Amino acid sequence: MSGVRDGRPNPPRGFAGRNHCNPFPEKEGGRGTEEAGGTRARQVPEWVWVALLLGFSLFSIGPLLMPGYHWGAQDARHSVYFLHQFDRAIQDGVLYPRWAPDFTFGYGYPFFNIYGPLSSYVGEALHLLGLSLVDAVKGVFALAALASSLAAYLWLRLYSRPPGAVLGALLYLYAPYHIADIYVRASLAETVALAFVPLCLWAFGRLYPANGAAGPGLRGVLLAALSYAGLMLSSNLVALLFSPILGFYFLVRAWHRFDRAQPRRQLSRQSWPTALGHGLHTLVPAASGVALGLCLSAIFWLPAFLEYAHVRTDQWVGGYYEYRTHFVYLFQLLLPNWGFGASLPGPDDGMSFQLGLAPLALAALSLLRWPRLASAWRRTGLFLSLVTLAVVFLMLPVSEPVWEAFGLVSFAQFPWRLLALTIVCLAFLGTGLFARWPGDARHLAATALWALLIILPVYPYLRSEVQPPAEGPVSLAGLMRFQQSADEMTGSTAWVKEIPRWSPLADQIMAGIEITTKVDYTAAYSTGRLAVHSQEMSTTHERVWFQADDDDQVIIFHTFYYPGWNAYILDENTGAVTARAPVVPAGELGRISVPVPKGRHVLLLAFEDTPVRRVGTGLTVLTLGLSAAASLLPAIFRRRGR
Amino acid sequence: MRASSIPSWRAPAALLIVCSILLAPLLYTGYFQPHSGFLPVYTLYAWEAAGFSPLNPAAHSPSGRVGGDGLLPYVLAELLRMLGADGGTAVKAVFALALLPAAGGTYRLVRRRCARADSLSALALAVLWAASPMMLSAVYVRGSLGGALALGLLPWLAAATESPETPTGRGRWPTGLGPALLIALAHPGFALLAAVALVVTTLLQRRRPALLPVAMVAAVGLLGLLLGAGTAPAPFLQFSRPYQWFTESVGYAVHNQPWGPGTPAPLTLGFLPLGLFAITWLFSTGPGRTQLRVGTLIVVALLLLGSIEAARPLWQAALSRALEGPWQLVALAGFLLLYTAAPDVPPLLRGRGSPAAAVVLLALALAVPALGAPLTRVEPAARPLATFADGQILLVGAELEGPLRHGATPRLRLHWQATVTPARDYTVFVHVVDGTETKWGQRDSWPADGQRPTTSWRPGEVVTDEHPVYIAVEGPREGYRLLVGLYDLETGERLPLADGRTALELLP
Repeated sequence: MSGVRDGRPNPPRGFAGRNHCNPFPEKEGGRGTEEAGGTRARQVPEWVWVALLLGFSLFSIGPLLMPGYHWGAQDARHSVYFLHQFDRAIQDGVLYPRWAPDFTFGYGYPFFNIYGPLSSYVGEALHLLGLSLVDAVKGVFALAALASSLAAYLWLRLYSRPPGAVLGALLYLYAPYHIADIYVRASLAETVALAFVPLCLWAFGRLYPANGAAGPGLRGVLLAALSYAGLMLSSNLVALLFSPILGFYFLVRAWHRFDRAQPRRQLSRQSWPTALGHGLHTLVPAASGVALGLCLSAIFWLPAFLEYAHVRTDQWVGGYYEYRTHFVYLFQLLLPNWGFGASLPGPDDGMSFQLGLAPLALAALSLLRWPRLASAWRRTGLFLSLVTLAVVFLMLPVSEPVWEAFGLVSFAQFPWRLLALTIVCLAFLGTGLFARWPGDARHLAATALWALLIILPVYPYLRSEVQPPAEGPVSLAGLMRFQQSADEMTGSTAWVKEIPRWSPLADQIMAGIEITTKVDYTAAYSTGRLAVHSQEMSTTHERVWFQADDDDQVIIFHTFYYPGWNAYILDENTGAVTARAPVVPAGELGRISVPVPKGRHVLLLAFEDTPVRRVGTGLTVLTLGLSAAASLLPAIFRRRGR
Repeated sequence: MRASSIPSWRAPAALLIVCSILLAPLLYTGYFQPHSGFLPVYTLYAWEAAGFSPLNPAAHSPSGRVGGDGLLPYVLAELLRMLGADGGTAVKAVFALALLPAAGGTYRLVRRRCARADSLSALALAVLWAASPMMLSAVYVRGSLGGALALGLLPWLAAATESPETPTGRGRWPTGLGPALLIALAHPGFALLAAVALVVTTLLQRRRPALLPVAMVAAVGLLGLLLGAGTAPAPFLQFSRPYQWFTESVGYAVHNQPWGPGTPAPLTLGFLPLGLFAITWLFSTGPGRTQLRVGTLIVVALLLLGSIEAARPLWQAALSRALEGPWQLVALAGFLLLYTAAPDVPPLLRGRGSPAAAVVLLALALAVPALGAPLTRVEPAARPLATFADGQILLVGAELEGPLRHGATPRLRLHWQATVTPARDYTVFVHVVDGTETKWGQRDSWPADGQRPTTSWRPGEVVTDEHPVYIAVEGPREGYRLLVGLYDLETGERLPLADGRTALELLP
């Protein structure tokens, strides 16, 4: 796949499949292994290191195993009610939900059209297995935490022997911001995304083995694509922040490979065009991975990007959301404090923005080991050091002109969210002390002790502020109370001129009346010339029988207008579609209104895909199919060939 | 065989990054609340306003003394003022300058004393000292500007008092006499004590100390004391109890009663220095080592004896004029343990598992409680608004919300700071008077509506006290003045201000 002539014979496929990403080809008793007294230390199998890692990772999810839930955490309620809405749609048979039916006091909102769905799918799977919504959310947090440590281990194994990879993975998992994402912010999407960040680095990094061996081929590209798609589907914000870093990262890896094959010192003016072509060719695997990843996740990001203008964003800027009041002060990056409060204007925030005592100290101490580390490590380390410095700068108040000039707020919302980038950088840099430790039995105990040392500074932070839900048990009524008390989950579409503070639907819900229709009967019967009767309703459709005395009648629904809501006139008896009716926003609330024809008919209002969504969905399905075929067909042909 | 060398910039860079964690509370945009409170800042401004005369800045302290600080910390702060820093920033920068040389000096000392010390093990010990409870409490708990700077320069002095045989005589001035001069100028009393302790320790260890630096310290230190660095006794003395030498709890209370209120300020030898001393004694043997350690233990024991209650007469007679408190003896004892263990530690830290790095992480983890210094948004101005009871209570800030108009209820927010815990509970009074001194609004209460009586104030703490005062509608429309003061409810007597008045007029 690489097509790179590296001056040495490519290893056999089987060997390449296992060891092409191993930066220590002389391991297992070779030059790279420390030897004591002339005897070789026994190497510990890889699975033991993974088990050690998982064992120490369990501390991070310990508080989640407690009964109860940290309802007071910043987005704790959001996480549960997002899943509640997702579950409603799934229960109605919508395989890819886009519409949250009970947002904003029952008017609905295209929340899942702009919010990464992966965490919701995982949570829904756990819920369908029998867990309650709350336990399913906790399950997702736990799985994401464990997955992130495993992903970090995979990535760091590209640069270190098992002990270094284990300790680096723990540095990543136990970075204070990572812990805060679970127990202080309860940000489900970002926690899931943090598992894909190192996974992407691993998948793209292994496309360019540091030792010059052949890359993993098509399967490696597909793996990279899947990892990138996973990131895109987890959190659009993390994906936006991390994508440039990923791009530069595989450029660094590719450059290292290119430089091995064609050292720049040997380049001449005549060889530059060839070198340029060679360089571009080197980038093909990574670029393919990105492109395929975008195609695989197009079902989400294409509509999210192109239809973003259809929702109001002014609710989320200004006031508390004014990014200028959320810069991080330098002392906050260093001070090892903790808190369960919120980010506030000024230096007295209720939550911690520290880089982490262990990651920062170990990254600093690793400076002393740099000269003895492999060139691949040093190159990546230099790159990630520069990233760390740049990100730290962007979090400080002095960077405000840069935010203004480049519109960074649309990427990051708050400057301190850039901490998500520093944790992966510092985790890598901290492995410098351990990267060359051999994976033998003698270092197993040392690794375990170091794992405890890494966990020690954050151990006091591993607690969940369990409390009863202020809004009562998880229910529609609880959702209405949450929306009213916190002014959260009250997003509105672009046609809403006056954001509602309550609704007739909410009245019904609070009175314990099941919502069986969203038709505004009051408006319908106001003219005296229209009779309506709702026949059935789900989260994405409603069938309404009506009798109109003239062509001037309109049926209004307690649902926000949004592209994708289509209305069909059906024959009363056969149910066949006889015509399409226009759907227009009405009034200050921008609700759906459908002008209906004279006579007795049935109106079907349904939320369907727009052309943009169909293209995105088609692209994803097509890419999935082609990828599956591309990965399975060669194996099938090989079997037939034998 | 000399330990392998690392390019010269890496170790200092790594040390700086690690020590930056220790500086975090100093980078806060407001100020922190050590026992000395805002006194160093006020002293700096007053010294500046007086044209740096007399030469002893401590004479300008609103409370009459700033703990025996010498000239150096204020000169450094003044240099930063000339670069545009305000007083609070300049003083915090000097505190930072105390921590950084502590690390750098220890690094240099270890590499000098132990030929087998590599960069990482020397760095580990450097961080250990800079992050020790003695160093951190000198900054964040005591707020001793000169004391902290002197502690930071202590490793340099220790290196200077090493064997006088240097390869060439050219290096002797900056590396030997320079630290001696600086530490004597930082805190004359402590410098004298440290020099004596180092010399005695060296002699008990049957080694020859370098006498020139000691003589420099003696001369400059005595001169500093004569110039008035110790003109007034320490405002309070917190003697140690033996259990405190072995515990690392961090508190700010100035008593030493384990049953409260509040956790006492640390008087510990430090878990890591003590532990390393013990470990090296057990695992590092060699000719003369036992003698070395016994000598150190003798000096340490003498210092600790000087820090307990039984030594009060000694303190009252002389020591409290030269030193700030028993904590300096305990700090010095802790350093001597580390100083003695230093040559034997690096070989133990070299080996499988990066034990040196583990020591760094452990030192930082143990320092976390000390780094949780209480912070305040109130920034020290050039001088306090008012000084009561001979500098025992300062009014450091005031804010008025709302109009001074008849019928209104403006809210006055007062920020108080005690330099010693008041012995009695005082009541705050706020009067709103017109041009004829007629009172149209009044509010008397204990601070913070009784939640923070003055007897609960610890030295250096900023206590915020809000007073909503209703101005009678019958009074004139405007033209009011605010009068603020303190009085003893039992006797009715008002606490006098520094100028003899009994109430402060606050201008809106």
